[in-house]
Amino acid sequence: MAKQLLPKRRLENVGLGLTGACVALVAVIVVTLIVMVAQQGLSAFFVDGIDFGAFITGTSWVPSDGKYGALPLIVTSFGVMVLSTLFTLPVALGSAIFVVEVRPGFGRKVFQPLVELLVGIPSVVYGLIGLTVVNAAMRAVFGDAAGTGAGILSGAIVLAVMILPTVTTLSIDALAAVPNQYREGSYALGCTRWQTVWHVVLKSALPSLMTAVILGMTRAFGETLAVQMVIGGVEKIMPAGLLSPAATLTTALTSGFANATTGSVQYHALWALGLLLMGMSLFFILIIHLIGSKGAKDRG
Amino acid sequence: MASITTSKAASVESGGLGVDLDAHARRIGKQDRVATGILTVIVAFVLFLLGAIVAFILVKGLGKALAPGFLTTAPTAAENPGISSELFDSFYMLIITLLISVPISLGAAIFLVEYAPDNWVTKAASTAIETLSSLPSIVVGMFGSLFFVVTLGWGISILAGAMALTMFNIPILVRVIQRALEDVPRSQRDAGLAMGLTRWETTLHVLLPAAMPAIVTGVVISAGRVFGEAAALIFTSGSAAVNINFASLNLASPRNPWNIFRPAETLAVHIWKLKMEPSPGNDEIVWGTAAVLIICVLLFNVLARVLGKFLAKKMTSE
Amino acid sequence: MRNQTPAGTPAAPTVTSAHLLETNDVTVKYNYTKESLHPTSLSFDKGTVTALIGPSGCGKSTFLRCLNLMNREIPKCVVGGQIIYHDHDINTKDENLFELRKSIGMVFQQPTPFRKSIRENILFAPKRHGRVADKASADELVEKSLSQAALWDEVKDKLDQSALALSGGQQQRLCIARTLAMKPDVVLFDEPCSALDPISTFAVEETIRDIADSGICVAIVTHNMEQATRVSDRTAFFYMGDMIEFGETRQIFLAPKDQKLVDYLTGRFG
Repeated sequence: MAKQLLPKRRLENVGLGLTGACVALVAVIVVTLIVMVAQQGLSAFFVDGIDFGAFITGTSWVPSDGKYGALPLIVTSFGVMVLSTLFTLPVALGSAIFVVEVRPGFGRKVFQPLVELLVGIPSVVYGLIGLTVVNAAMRAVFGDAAGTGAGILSGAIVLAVMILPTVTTLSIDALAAVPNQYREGSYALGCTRWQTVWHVVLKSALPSLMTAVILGMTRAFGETLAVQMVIGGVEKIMPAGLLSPAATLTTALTSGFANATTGSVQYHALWALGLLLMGMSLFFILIIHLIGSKGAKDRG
Repeated sequence: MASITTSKAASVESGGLGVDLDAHARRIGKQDRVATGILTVIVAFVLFLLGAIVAFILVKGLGKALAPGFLTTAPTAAENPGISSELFDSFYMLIITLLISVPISLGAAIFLVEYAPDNWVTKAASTAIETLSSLPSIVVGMFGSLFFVVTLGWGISILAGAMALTMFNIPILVRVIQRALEDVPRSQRDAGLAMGLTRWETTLHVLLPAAMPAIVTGVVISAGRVFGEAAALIFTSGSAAVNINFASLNLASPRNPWNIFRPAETLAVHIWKLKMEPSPGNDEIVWGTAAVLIICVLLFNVLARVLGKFLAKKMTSE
Repeated sequence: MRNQTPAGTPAAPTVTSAHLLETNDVTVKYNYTKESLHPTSLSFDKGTVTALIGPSGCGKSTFLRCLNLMNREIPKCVVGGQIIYHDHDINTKDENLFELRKSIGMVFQQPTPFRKSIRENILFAPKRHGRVADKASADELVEKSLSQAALWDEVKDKLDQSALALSGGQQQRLCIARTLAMKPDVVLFDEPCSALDPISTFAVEETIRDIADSGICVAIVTHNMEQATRVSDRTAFFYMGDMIEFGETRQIFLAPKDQKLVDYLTGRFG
């Protein structure tokens, strides 16, 4: 024996224990987070007596006056999410098709690394550019109707640029995963590239494409600072249109949280907004899992 | 598929009736060219967007960023304030975040790839990690402000901020490391086990070295993301400019650079803060800071690729 | 090797066997339920080569992977029956897999050198098992193992170069040398030549013969019938998860008894 080594069984248990502890630690933190957010958020309704119905349907959010109507925030959050997804989808899908079907070499070597750069740009920088460029463009295009330029449309445009790389990268993966035989089969029948892409490739990549879109929506829904910088931060009334300044769940949290005293009604009401956000992201995950398991079932 | 076969059948049929088949061929050929043209325009647009964003920031901010003293003057200076504290705090917080998140992520990924029994505990654990990746960073920040700052009593501090960033970073890292380990051929694992080695030894001495280039690339890219994150930090490490005293030797001092229990403000938070509370002269500093931030993120990206390639090359040639 | 089991490990129930390694009604179920190997009883002796042949998917590799309990590494895989090695049933929960695999080595279908130098590839496992005392004994082990695998003359000047720079055949012989460095008394080969060209195949076959002649018990899975006749003393024929016929290699190929084996040998299927 050269040196005394741990017996193999003990060594294996050490490995299992160490790595298992890491997973357990992460799981414990996540559970703690979910429990704490739920506890703080629910105490707005069960301790402070805010009516849940009024919270969901009320149209004015002025915590300092005791008005806790979160509907404007909810509507705006969904509004910017849907709009930005609509803006992003054609561009992301188009570039994914180009990269996978038309010029794969260019896609792998040039396009994908550059798109990954876009992911890395910090959200405050997007917000800064939005504030300077997009809001100015709004004023230039819509004139007085746009006010300062801050509003739902500006927020949606900035978000669209921010989720573009996520949706594009995942769409590329989705299209690239379609087996080549499908394409060859279609080409062998004399179909053009466009016919092949439209009828064969997109169809078989549909579940993964949907996952890509939902992950993009998740990111848009939870994005905070970039939106806050361009959306105007009006929480007290329902947004009248796409150009009116508004506030999302996340931006109301950012602006209100620092001023709320721990344990106050206002504090709990803000946690209730956080609970809504968390609920939505859990819901998105659930949908992704459903798509995944349906896809697995379809494949047998 | 169905529509292809019917259109084929239709064209053959119409050909038999003496209708112009060439017209159909011309039409679908044109359709194909138009579609390709539109796709090209879209891709050009995306590339233009990227170029425009980076160029815009550099044009607006590079002058200030390179101005003498900007990187080395404290933000609290009365005249020509700089971003020395923010620059230091950004890197310091990043390093602490990586020190915490890389070992945990490595362990978790190894467990999930090598040890995880196929049961509900494993499924629950990987769902938990997935949940973490989809949580809005502001929610992570709120949780941090309650749990790390208040419950654990760390106060608004670098450590609390680094923990919030760790929560944000772990799901990214676990996925990267998991994928890197899974990409090592199964046969390498079997060969180690067949020689009477434990999974632990096989992973440590065979799989991890083989997966190292991909892991290093992933860690550096994730570092770039962490570097620009701000929402999770506002309530955990603070958003007030700190006047760091680099000569301080008192580790408990709120001005000592190495004190992990002092508040800190990163570059990203600095930009947000200045933009939210506009005052004359701020704009220049904002753009200068943005330029510095973007350059750092770009450098992380380049570094990730170069390091990955270098390690992969070194490994196959030795 | 086996007789040196460290004190303290609970002794497996003793079963007297006339053979070094013997299986009694071994079965394998994947996914807990799907029986892919029906009860199989075979025996293996020192200094002999036993070939396991049959069409692909017949259960021969599955059976081979029972002998060093590699099937335990596959989730939801259950191995039934007795595997008697040195008069102990090793198919028990208490069996120390790590000790077992030191003395039952395995060589895989694809060459699996680690991304290390040739020397490190040989020494990796012995070092991890605490068997390398000093540099002199390490060098001796490297030379001896590589010579046994007929690779020493080809690589003695580049021991510190990457093992990945070797040709496929050399890599496979390195994997054999690596296994021999553990001083096993059984070596299992899982289609070791299917990824190699004819010349490398010939070199590996010679090595296999030499290993057996040095007193080691060898089992080899192959789909190549000529290879079975060239290297083996005894042959077992598997078909659809059943072990159909077992006997002297000469008898199996010249006087097959079972009709399925006759069909296989004459190329009706496979």
